Amino acid sequence: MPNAQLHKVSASPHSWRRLVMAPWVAVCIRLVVGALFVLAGFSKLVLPHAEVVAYIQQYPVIPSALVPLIATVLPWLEVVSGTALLIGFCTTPAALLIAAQLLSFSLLMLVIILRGVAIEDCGCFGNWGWHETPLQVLIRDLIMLVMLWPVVQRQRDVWSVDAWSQDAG
Amino acid sequence: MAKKSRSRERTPSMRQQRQEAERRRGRRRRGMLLGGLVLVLVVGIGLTVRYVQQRNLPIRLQGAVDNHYTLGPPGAAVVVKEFSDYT
Amino acid sequence: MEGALKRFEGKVQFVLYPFVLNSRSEVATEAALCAGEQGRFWDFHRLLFRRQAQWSHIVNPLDRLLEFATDLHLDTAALASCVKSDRMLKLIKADLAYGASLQVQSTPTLFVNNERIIGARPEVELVRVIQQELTRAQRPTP
Repeated sequence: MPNAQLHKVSASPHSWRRLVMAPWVAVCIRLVVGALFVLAGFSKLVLPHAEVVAYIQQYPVIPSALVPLIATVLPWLEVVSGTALLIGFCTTPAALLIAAQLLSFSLLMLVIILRGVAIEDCGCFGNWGWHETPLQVLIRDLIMLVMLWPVVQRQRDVWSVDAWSQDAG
Repeated sequence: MAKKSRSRERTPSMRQQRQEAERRRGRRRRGMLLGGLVLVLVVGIGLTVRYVQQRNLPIRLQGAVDNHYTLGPPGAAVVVKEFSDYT
Repeated sequence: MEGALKRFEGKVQFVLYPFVLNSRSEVATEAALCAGEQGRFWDFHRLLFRRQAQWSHIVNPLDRLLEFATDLHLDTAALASCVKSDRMLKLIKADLAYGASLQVQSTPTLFVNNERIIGARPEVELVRVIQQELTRAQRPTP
């Protein structure tokens, strides 16, 4: 029947959109991305500052004058933005901040790959087990960037401080 | 008469609206407080971890010179400890 | 490093901790420490770095290292016996543990008093840091 067929064809992109925009999807993404950023930040905080500096110095495109500042600020930025996303506090700004970091890291890795700089371990998770190459980091970060879209779109979710504080009751 | 009954209807709902707005403000304040507290807690944990790590380093760096090859006088004001690998 | 040390002769003590990263390095470190028993540690140590390309790619470089020992007129039989006995392993493991306690992740890592320096740095930078520490050490304590 034509109506039923029309319904079936038009339901497919809508059902994907419904799935992606489902609350539990955004919650899972928040938890995964937030937790990863918290881990990444803490893995650098437990290292001596000079070790983090050494990791960042692997990237010759970063001006050497900025390296100590980045080594100081980056772990805290990751921890704070990751925690905010994890608990759903100021969710949209936190997600945008994380997206900005992911975009920066992705661009950095792309430049490193194009320049052919050999880096065995990006230093993304300090010495907590994960040793990723620039290509692996680029792929991972682009995936996370795409994953953040439902979170940014939804603005407020269940299982979040924002939802609790905005609930009209 | 009609005017009086309309004004009676308006007053309770305005009060309700005011109360609702107060409640919303209260919840937002509590939300900000909760979120802020969690962030402060996490930052506090990070600072503690860094402080403990760095505090112990000078203690661990003292001594451990015996049975190692050295150059220069013992008890010098500056001690350079090198960890290196031959490969 | 030795260039920097010459500048501050008498004021700076240098202590070496072998931080073994692989089995080839372990053999080389044992050989250097065993050469030390014959009073030639520093000569063997310098030779290992100077001729790094000749031995560091070999899976078991002992035979090549014994050739170096011959060049230094060492007792190669005693050296070989010392290396094969593994009696230097205790010191090597202790140094690895000590480095781990200081969160040494890569080599070379230097500590100029409490100041950590990671990676091979130009002599001028080492001199600057040593001078800084000497100045700090010479300041009267409050």
